[in-house]
Amino acid sequence: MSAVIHPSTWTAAGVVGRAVGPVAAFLAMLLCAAAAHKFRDRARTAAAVSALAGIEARGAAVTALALVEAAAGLALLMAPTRAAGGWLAAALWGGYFLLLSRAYLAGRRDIDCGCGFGRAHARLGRTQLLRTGALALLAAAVAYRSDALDMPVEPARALAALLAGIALFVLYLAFDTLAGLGARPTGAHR
Amino acid sequence: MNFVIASEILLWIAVIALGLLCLALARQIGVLHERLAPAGALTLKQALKVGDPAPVLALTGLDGREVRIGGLREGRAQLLLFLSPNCPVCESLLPAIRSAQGAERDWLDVVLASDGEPQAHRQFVQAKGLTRFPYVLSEPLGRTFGVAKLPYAVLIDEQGRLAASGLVNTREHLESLFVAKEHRVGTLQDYLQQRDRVTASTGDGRG
Repeated sequence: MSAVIHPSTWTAAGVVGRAVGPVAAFLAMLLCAAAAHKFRDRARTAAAVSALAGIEARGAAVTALALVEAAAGLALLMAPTRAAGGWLAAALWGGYFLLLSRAYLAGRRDIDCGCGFGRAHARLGRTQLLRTGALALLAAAVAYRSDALDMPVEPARALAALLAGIALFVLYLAFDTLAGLGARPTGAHR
Repeated sequence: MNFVIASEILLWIAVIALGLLCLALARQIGVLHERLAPAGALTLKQALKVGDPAPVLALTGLDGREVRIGGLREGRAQLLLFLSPNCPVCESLLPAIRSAQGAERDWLDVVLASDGEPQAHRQFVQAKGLTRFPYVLSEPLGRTFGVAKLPYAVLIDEQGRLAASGLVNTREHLESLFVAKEHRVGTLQDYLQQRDRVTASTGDGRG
C-alpha cells in the first residue's frame, strides 16, 4: 500500500506534507495568471498601484512587478526553488495586504484595488482583505513546510497534486467571478 | 499507479469539471446582469435638470435645528426623500432608507421632507423611529424640485448639483439614483437610451 494512505501519514505533519504540493501548484497558477493579467492591462495596474501606494507607477515598474510575480509562481512549481518562491509570494501578498488594509482603514473603499481578474472592480471590503491575507499565509506556509514533501515524488502523485492545484485554481476563478458580480465598471466613482 | 492514486486523480478531474461548470455559470450570471435593464426611479417632468445647481435653502427641521439644503456641504452629497405619513408606499420604503443611510454614510446625508401640520409628522417620526433623520416641512421645497407624487427622491451631489431624482417605490428605485450619479447619467431613461445607442453603434447584438 502506498504511503499516501498509510495510517502513519494520518498525522498533522502527514496532511501538511500532502497539501504542500497542491497548494504550491495552486499558488503558482494564481501568481502566473495575475502576472499575465497585470501585463495585459498595464494602465489599470498602474492606476491601482498609484491608488494604493500613492506613487506614480510607470509601464516599466508594472512590467517589473508582473515579472517578479511570474518568477515567484515559476519558483513555486519547482522543488529546489519552492521555498524561495513561497517566501517571495508571501512578501508580495503580505505587502499588498498592508496596502489594502491602509486604504480600507482610511475609508478609501471605492478605489480600484486590482483585486480581481474581471473588468469591473468591487468595492474594497473585508472579502478582499481576507482573501489577500489568506493567500499570504498560504504562501508562507508552503515556504515554511516545503521540505515536508517527500522527494522524489512518484509521477502519479505529482499528477494528482497538479490536478488538485488546477481544481483549486478553477474554484478560485469561480469565486472571483461571483465576487465581481454587481461590481461597477472600472473608472466609475461615486 | 495503485488504485487509490488512480481514483484520486479521477476525483480531482471531476472537481475540475465541476469548478469549470461553476465558473461558466458565474460568467453566465454576469452576462445576465449586463443584459437586464435596471429597475430605476421614474423621473417625472421637472423644472430642474440633472447637472443644474440645486437651490440652496436654509430650513428649520421638526426638532428646531437648521437644515441646509443644497450648496457645497464639505464634500458630502444629500438625498432628499419626500414622503407623507399617510402614504403606505413611503412607509414600506423606510427600511431601505435606513439601510442606505448606514451603507452610504461615508458620503451621503439623508433628509426627509414633507409638508402639512407638524403634529402629525412628529407622531409619524416617533412611531417609525425616524428621529435620527433631519425632517423638514416645506411646501416651497417640494415645489422647487417639482415633486408631484410620493415617495419622491432627489439626490444632490457633492458640488451642490442635481445628480438624479425620481419616483422611488422600491429599494431598487432608490439605489438606481446612486447608480445614476455614479455613472453620471441623469435618469434611467437616459441610461437605457445611451445603452441602446452604444449597442447599435458597436453592432453588439448579444441581447
